Amino acid sequence: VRLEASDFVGRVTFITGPSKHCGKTTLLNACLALLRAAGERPAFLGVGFDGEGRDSLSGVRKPRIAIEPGEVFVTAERYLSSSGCLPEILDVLPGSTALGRLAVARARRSGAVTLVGPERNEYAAGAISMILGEGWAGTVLVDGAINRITQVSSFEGARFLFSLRVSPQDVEAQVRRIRLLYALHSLPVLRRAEGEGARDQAEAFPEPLFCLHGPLTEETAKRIPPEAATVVVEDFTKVFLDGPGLSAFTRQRGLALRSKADFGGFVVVLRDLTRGKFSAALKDRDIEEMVSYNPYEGLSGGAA
Amino acid sequence: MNGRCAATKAAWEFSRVEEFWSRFSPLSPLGKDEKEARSVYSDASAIARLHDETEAAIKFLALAMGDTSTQDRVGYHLKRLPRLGDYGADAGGKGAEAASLDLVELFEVKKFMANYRAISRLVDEGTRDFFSLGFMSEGLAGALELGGSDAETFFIADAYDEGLKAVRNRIARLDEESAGLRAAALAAAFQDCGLDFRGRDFLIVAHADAGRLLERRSSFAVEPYDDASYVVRLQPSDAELALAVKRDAATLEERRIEEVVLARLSAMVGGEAERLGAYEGAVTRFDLALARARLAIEYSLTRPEFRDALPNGDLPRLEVARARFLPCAWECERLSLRYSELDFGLAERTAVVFGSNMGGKTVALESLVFLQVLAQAGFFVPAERYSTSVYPLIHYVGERKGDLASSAGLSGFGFEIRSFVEAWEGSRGGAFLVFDEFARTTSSREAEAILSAVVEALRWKPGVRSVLSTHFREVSRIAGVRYLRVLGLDREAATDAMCGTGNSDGGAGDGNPGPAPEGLGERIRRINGMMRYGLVDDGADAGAGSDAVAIASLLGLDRGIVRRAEEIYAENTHMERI
Repeated sequence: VRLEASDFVGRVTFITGPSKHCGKTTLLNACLALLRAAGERPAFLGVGFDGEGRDSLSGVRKPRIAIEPGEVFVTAERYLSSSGCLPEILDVLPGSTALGRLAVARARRSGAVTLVGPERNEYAAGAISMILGEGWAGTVLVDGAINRITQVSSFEGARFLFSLRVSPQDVEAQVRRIRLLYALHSLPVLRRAEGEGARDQAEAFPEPLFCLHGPLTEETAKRIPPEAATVVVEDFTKVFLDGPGLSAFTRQRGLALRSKADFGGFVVVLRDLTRGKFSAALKDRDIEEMVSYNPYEGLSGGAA
Repeated sequence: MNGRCAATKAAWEFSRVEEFWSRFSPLSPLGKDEKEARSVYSDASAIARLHDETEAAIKFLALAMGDTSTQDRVGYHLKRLPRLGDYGADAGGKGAEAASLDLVELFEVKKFMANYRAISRLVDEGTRDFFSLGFMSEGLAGALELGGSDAETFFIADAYDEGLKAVRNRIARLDEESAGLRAAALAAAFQDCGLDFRGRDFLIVAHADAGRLLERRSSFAVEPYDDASYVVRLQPSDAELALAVKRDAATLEERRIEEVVLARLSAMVGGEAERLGAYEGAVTRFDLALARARLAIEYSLTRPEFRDALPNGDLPRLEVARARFLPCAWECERLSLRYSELDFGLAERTAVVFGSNMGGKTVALESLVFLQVLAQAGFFVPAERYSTSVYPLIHYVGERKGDLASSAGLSGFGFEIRSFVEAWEGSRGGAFLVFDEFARTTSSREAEAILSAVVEALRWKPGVRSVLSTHFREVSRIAGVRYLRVLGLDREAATDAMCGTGNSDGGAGDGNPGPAPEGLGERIRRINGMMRYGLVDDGADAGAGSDAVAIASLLGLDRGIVRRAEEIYAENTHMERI
């Protein structure tokens, strides 16, 4: 699949990934370019501060993120003047970070910004609510924290992309990661019992149902009553089992979600690996339909 | 505010004030901070001022009753007020420090003034005068309004300096030229080499495609990416680099002028620091008063009356008329139980309240502390009348949930005594003290001895009002001390209830069940429904029989045991009378 501006317009999208150098910020730039080409003026922010100085794809110093007039961003007050974008302060976020207070600003001309965002999920959600609620932007991109998929559930209705860099050395591990995330995302949804439709849906799950409040981990799994035929968790971000653990769990009993996060797919950056080899390792057409490749590939398919 | 009262955490927790406090909802950040401080005061004039402010806020709400949009708009602006920090309420002459304000700080001043001024305009003249909500900083407001696309946002606009406008126009022209050159380079890269750099700083291209790009090193930077591909970047042309150098110089000039503008605006803020501080203080008081007034209206609260202690240490009469201990009243409402209001008057410094377990003594004490804490926190109180004094200390001695007795190496008794020692030592300047079942953890004879001595000592303690509850009846009767009892169980209703369950009589320990099978919650609900929480003098006819035995019966104690207990109680009472 290819990323399109319409995938992002009018919604909140978190860009997440499993580790450092997984291409999140580069993907953010690519998404911003798509939106600008479509005439959209998005808002964008980070979660915390990414101290990594170098870009994973090019290996050069990480560029600050280009910004265009009318776009909204979040950064620490100390980075405002160096942005060169003639920032108009729209608000100040509650609390403070190690880099000082965080401001929401609108660019009045082109520039380049350093993203510094709230460290905690709920504060990031608060910043997004503020941006949408005040009408400063209708489209929000979040350069999310690495390996913290829980952030996605902090803002209801948010969508997320999962960015990975794959090389011959880690292809098996990355494929396992992709399969696990896909399996979690594919878990069935049991809506809260509200009316007849919900009851009908509940009937599809083996009973008795057991609603687990909080995370499903190896430890909490041990405390689930043995008679529970289906375990219901809030959303897939609350499942902290690895692939084998999840398989073993679902062999014994059903697992369902209360709500489903909107998943935009995997963005895979290949290095020293062809698409054919990656596809052969993945061995799953359904999953591959959710994969888009490096948006920076040029000419005739780039590294493929 | 000066004159903080040492209302102990124990008193706060015992009287469940937190349940009321959670409904106290100031809207501004400073109002919320004040709520979190949970301040209780001992300065009578400070408390009176808070009560006056509450009254003024009630008047404002009454005036705005038919105009909910005014109330909504005031609430909207209160919520949007930012904290001003050093250049606000805490400034107190820090005007000079304001010279270093940055963009964000100026934004906060502007946002504060925009919302403060809106509130000032929304309230009626009387309210504005009472809370000193006038606005007199038109000059600063006007200056800050120049920067920003709306009333709250802020940036350093061209309008602040002619030089700024000129340099920014120059930067815009350079950007335009640079963008033109970049667009041409992008088009050439696409046309000549098929490379589409639109929206992308670099491209990953296959080894075969990169080969021919290496021949055009002046246009492209080509570096290996992996075994099969290269990273390609569009090199800036000499003309673009020259423009970038000019832009850097222009940006430096812009920054220099911006610094001058910031300094000028900061100086203006510094000049207004005292007023800004006054605005912040006034609007916070208004916010807090509104929050107290909303509670006063919602729960029909009234202004408490305070009377000064006499020079000899005697205290004016404590009067409580139709008081509602709100946490208990809310709980009763939730459980569909009847709630009894409290009527009580106490001229003496010290009172002892008797009553059986579960007989309502604790609720009576909780009610008194609840009223006193609220009154000294500046709130109106849930009573038709509450007349009291201001105390430097409000303290509770008794059992506490999760107390640390064991971890401190103290037994329950040791903890109680330690708590009393603290209260005794802390009450030299006067205090409102309540003791719930003091010394309950030792034998009845020892407890009665300790209680008697404590009551005797408290009776002579100047400025100390103390109320002690106990179920030990043999406490010494001391002149000048009031002895009360809770009305307790409605025996008639209890007897009906016990008969109504159809229990059969049996001998002691015959294993016959008490009342018909019934859940514990239901039994407690029935007992509470029969409980009368009023206080009467202990000398008054208490009626025959024991509340404790009746309650035990209602809780399901074996009927035979109940009967035997009633007999023994009657015998003992008869012997005492003889």
